[in-house]
Amino acid sequence: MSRKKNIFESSTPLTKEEMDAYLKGDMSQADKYQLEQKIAGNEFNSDAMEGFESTPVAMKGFNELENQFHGNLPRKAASKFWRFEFSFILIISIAIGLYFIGYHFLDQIDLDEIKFDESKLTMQINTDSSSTAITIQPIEELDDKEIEDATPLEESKQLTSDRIIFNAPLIIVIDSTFNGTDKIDSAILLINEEKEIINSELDDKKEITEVNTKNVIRSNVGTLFLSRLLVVDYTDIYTKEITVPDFELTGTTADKENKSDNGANELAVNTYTQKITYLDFLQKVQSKFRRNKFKDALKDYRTILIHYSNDVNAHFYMALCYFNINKQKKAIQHFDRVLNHQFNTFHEEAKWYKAMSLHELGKISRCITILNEIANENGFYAKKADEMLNNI
Amino acid sequence: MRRTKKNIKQFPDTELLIQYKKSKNNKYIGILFERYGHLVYGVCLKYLKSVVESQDATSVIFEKVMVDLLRMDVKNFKSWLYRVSTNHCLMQLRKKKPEGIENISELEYKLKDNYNSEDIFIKESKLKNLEEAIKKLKNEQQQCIDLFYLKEKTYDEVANLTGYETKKVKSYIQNGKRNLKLILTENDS
Repeated sequence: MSRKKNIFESSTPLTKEEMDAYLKGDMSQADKYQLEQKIAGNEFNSDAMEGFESTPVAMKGFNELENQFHGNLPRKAASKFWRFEFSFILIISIAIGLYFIGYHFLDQIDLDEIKFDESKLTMQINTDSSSTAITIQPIEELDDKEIEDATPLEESKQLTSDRIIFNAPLIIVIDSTFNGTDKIDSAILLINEEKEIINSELDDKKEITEVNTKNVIRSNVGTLFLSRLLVVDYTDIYTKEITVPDFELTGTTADKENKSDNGANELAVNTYTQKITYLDFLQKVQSKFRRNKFKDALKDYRTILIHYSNDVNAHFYMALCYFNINKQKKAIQHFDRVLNHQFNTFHEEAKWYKAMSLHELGKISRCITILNEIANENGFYAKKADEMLNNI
Repeated sequence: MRRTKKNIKQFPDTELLIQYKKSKNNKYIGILFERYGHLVYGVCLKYLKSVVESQDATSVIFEKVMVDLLRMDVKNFKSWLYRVSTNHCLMQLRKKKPEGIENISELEYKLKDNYNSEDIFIKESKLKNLEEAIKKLKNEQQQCIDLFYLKEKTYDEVANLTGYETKKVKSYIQNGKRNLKLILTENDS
C-alpha cells in the first residue's frame, strides 16, 4: 500500500541545486529515482524540469535572470495609488521619513537575505587619529544548529586544508630579510618542496600549483604558520585574552553519591569559562581546520570575531569553512571582508576562492568578471583563472 | 554577534505571504523567487521554448505576483503560482499563433480542468480501489505507472524495459496519474 500511496503523494518544490545535479546526471541510481519521484509528484516540478531538459543553456539563462532580479528588486512594494496619484507627496514623505527612521529602517531590512554582496556598503573607517581600527557591521553568522544542519559540499569540491596549502602562493613580508632575490629564490624552492613532500605522504595526490618568482605576494603585515597554514601575526596587536566556554566531565555528582539510584552513574558536567591568548586559541582552531573539521572550526572563528571583529585570519578561514559546508553567500561576505581589509596578505587567495564560491552558487556572470580580473592582474592565480574561464 | 532575527529563508510560504502583506517588504518576494523562480522559468521554457522570452516572462510573472499578493488571499502559493505561470504562457502563445498552437491546447486543457496534483485529495479508503483503477488505464500508462511507482524504476529504466522514449514515459506517467485521479474521484462528485 505504501508504494501505491506514493502515486498521489504531493512533492516539495525541486531546488535549483537538485535540478542542476539531475541535469548533469551527477547522482547515484537511488538518488536519481528519489528525485524523479519528486519530479513526477508535482506538475510544477515536471513541467519545469521538462523546460530545462529541452534547452541546454537553460541554467545559465536562469542564473543571469536571478542576478538581474535580485539586482532590480526594490525593497518596498509601492501601490499604484502612491505611484501615480500622489507621487509628489511620496517624494516629500520619503525625504522626511528617511530623516526620522534613518538607521533604524536600514537595520530592519535583512539585506543579506536578498542581495548578499553588501559588505562594501557597510564598511566605515574610524577616523579616530589614535587608532587605525576599522569599525564594520558584523556579518550575521549562522548559529550552531544551522552550522550542524548544513550539508557540506562533496569532498571532491571542498577546499580542504591540503588543497589550500598546495594552491597557496608564496607570501613574503615587506621589509623582511626576504628582500634579496637569492633569499626569495630559496624560499620558492622550499615552499614547492614542502608541497611535494606533504603530497607524497598522502594516499590521494592533490594538484599542486607551483610558486615562481613572478607571482610572489608581498604582505604588508607579519605572518606565521600555524598547523602549516599561513596566518597574519597579530601577537603584538591582539593582547586581550579571549574568553571561551570550557567543559569538563567530573565524577558522580555530590547529591547522588552513596545512592543506589540510576543517577549515581551519571557524570557531572562542569561548565566554566577559560581565558586564553589569541595566538593559543588560533593555534587550536587552525589545528581543527587542518584536520578539515570545518564546522567545529567555524564556531571557533565566530568566537574570535566576537572579540576581534576585523580579524583577517578569522574572516579568511571562516569563508573557506562556509564554502566547504556549502553556505556560499556567507563565504562570499567573508571573502569580501578579506578583500577590503587593510592587510593584503590573503587578497589574491580570497579573490580566487570568491570566484569559486560564485561559481558554486551559479552566479556565473559575476564569477567570469572576477576570473577576468584575476587573469588580467597576472598574479599567482592568473593561469588557473584562464583555465577556468575556458571551461565555463 | 548573537542572532536576533529569525532566518526568513526557513519560513514556510504561508508565513512569507503574511509577512509580505503586512510589511510590503520585497525581501519576502526575494525568498519566494529563490524557492520558485527556477520552476517558473522552467515552465516558461517548456511552453515558450526560448531563453530570452522565458527570462522576460519570469520577470513579468514575479512582478504580477508582487502586486497580486497584496490584494489577494492566496492559500496555496505553489499551486497558485503554477497557474499564474501557465496562464501567462498561454496568453503569450495566443499572441504568437500559429507557432504555439501545439502548446496552447495542452495549456488550455490544464487550465480548463483546473488540474493540479495537489488540488485533488484522494481519500485513504479510495486507495484500495487503486489496483482496479490502474487496470482501467491504457496499456502504456498501466505499464509505466507500474514500473515507476510500484517497481521503483527510474525513467530511463522504464524506457529500456518498455521500449518507449523517455519523454513518452514521463508523459504516460503524468497522464496515467491524472486519469487515475479522475477514476478514483468519479464517484465522489
